[in-house]
Amino acid sequence: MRRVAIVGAGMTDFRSMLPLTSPEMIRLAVKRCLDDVGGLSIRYVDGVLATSAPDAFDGYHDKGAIAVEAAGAIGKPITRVFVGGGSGVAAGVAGWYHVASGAFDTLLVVAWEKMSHPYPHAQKLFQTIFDPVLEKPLGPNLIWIFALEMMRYMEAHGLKKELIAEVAVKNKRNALDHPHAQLGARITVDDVLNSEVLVWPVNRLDISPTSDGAVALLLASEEVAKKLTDNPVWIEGVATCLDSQFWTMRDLAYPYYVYLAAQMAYRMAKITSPLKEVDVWEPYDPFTYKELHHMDGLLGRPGLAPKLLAEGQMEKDGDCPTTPSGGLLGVGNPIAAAGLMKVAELYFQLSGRAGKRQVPDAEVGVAQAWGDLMQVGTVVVCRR
Amino acid sequence: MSARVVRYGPEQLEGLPASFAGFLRRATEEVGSGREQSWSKAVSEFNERVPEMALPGLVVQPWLFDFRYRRATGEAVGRFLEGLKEGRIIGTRCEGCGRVFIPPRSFCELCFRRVRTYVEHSGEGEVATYSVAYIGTNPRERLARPEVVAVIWFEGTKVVRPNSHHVFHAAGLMHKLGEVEPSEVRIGMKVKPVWRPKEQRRGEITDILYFAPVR
Amino acid sequence: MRRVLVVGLGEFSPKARETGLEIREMTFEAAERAYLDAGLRPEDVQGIVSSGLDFNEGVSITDSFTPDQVGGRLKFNMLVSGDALEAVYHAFMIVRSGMLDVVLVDGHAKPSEIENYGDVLRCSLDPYCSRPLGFDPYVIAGLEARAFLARTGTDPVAFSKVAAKNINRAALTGGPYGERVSPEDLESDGYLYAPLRRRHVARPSDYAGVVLLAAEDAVPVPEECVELVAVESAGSSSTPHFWLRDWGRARWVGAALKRIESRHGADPRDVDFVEMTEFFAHQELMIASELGIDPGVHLDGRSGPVVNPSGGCLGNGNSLTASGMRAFIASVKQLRGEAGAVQVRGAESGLVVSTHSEIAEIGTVALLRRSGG
Repeated sequence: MRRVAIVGAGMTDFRSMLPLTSPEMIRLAVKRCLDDVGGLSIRYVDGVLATSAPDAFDGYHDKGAIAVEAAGAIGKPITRVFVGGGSGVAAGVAGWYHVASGAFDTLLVVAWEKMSHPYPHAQKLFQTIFDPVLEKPLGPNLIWIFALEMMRYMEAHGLKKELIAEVAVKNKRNALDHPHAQLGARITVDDVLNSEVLVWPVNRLDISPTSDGAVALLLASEEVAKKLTDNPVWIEGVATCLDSQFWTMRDLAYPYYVYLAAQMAYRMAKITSPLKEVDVWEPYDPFTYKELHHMDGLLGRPGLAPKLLAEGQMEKDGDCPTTPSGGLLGVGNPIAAAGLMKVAELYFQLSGRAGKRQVPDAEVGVAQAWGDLMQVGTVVVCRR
Repeated sequence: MSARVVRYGPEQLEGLPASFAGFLRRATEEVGSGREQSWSKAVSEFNERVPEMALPGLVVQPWLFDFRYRRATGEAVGRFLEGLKEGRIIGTRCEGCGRVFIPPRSFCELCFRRVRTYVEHSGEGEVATYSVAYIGTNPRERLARPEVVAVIWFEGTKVVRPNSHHVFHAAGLMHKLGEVEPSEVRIGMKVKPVWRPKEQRRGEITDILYFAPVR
Repeated sequence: MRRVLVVGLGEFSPKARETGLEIREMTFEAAERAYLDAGLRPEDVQGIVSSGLDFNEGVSITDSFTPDQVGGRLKFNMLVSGDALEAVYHAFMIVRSGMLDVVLVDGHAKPSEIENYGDVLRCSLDPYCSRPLGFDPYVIAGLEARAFLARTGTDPVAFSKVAAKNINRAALTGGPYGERVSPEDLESDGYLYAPLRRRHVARPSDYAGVVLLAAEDAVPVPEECVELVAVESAGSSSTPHFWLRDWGRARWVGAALKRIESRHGADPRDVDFVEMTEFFAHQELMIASELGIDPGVHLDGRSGPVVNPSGGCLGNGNSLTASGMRAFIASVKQLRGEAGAVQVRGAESGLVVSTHSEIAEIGTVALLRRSGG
């Protein structure tokens, strides 16, 4: 098992509408990533691992096949992985085994999403994720099923919406310090509670926006990493875990699959007491409650995360700094790119380059994403 | 900065095969001139932030997805749908672990064996969780009447993990609730299916109109 | 680096149209057979790599629908959006990295359920410059075939010779499009995408295939088994920018082979047979010439590797992203000596070549070898 480092990162702004095509967004993110490694030439990159969420958003069938030139993969390996919302962090996982297996010395990991294309709204396309025989005829939308999960979670731990809303307040505030953020803002709990109810118990400000954006990371083997940078960040644990597609037959109160993925990644990274050992958490926060729900799974203690939030421990100066980037709620949610942005945030934090977002003395970080039919957990553990 | 949506008028469509011309015409009509202003704004902001890639303007191309599938349901779901037509709820039970599946499945993913024992259920169950939808697939449009959506766990099918309240398995179905005010719905509430009149049933999931509280 | 072995395989054989089972049930059958073949239980498998594309299945996030029917619930999972041989590529790296020991790879497709596949495939083209022209995307294969003829000076009858060989081969194994035909019979077919005639184009088939890969140190190794020596891939242009191609060549093949030589120290050209996903007759010739196999020679099989002993896609059908899995499994069967009527005698090593999609210029190459335990 070879050690694998992140040696550079680059991203576009996350915006509700970026006037760029997907290949153009990819090109911009890749260029910024290579600039971050001292203007490294694309010729030194061995291959590309791409990810992007449903083909439907971009309006391409097989949209992985649009990135060859933009990502500099002519004559090189290029494949795309895709596990729904979990894709961005899954790309970190897949990138890791590309390099750890000895197949690659340098690898570009590229994630993008173009959600401004669907008209009138991307939600319409989310309809196509449901079982075409048993669910689609009911006319479901995606927020329905997350509201179902949120309700089950609130019931299990007697949670109030007032507390859950704090996640939006924190993450949007953190995003004010992120140079590429779409929705950094100072808001209050009341703003969240008074925003329009979309699908009870989900209000508009409980949800991350739809966005366009791309992120690129450069991974390298230990030997090459040491030549490219003095400040590598090591990927030490990776995992994914997928639960049953028959989601109505599962209890949604606890994301057991996130727990299992986290345990596998901790084992690899030799982490035995995550709450004590991890300095920065970047859990997946497409909805306010999801940050808490996922932290429950990552910490292996159902109901613990809401307590930590109530105590203020999830702030940058708390014991459990969570989503200092601003997350999907603040930076934006171009699905696959948002997940990879979380891995990029670990790179910025652990290499001490997160600017105003910096968590002091951060050495170990965890990024996680989630997707499919409330079904998949993807986890990456990094160390300075 | 301006944004322009491509529109296919009669002149452009002339000479194309009729079905494809119809497709492009539909794309023009349905996507229309949507969002031209927002796109213009997006171009201006982008040009300011990334001057090295500044755009003179933006052209937006309409396109529709028009993909059609004809899907086999397989035996288990096929029998479920046939049952609905007769007002019956059909499931399967795994002879390995004893779990009941409604809607039925022809294999058990845990025992990894074929499942061939069919069972019939009264359809009564409890609300596992619910939500109240004020929007459909376009979040910008409010529904005239909110819809209550729920996962129903069928009675007697729940397997609870000892030592915790975690429900390990239950035969569950996503559907809508009716004959109840949104504010009255509770997790754990007992419900039963309300069927479409027999002559209107077609062997589809919507043969069940909704689930209503057992009063 | 630890060696990677193919320890089990199972198939739902290709059929022009499967009406009884739905796609997950087909895959369940293939997985059941693979476990039986390997003598393993689902709990012995730690991870799943599946393959698929949203619009081929008519559901977005196809990955949601993959775990249950292959015994993959609550396990490591990755979906590769492309051909199943790309999924094999990922599984190979996962095992080599030491992360997992036993991984299941799944390829499945049911093209018979897509009513307007041409419209689906058209959406992989450029939305501004190509789609509004309305052409059937398989026309790109016609362009490629014409350029191949011009570049190499090949007689177009070669297409009929290739197709007849593959269709006859499939007749020996009961492949869905197998029949006894001569090249002359095919020359009387009408053109679909000239110079390609009707039976120069693979017709759809429903199929599911599952293989189990394991590290040699993780399972009891039988005396004789099949080793996955190397898998590599390369792209040479994006599908939407198909006009950028070096027409009439499959440049990605050479790039992938070079990686096999440089990173694995193996000679991918020194093999007894090649199985490939030729969706069109010219693709077999185009890929063969990148491999250095003279088209004239490989047709009679007298010297050099036998190409597509199983009958390829022209004989067994185009199973979309599962096509690479069918070719992979056919190759493993050859090396196990289980290929029946199409067995290549004394086969010790084989190459699997698979294209990302019918009209893509991206692909994957796998080198397999029979190996003592």
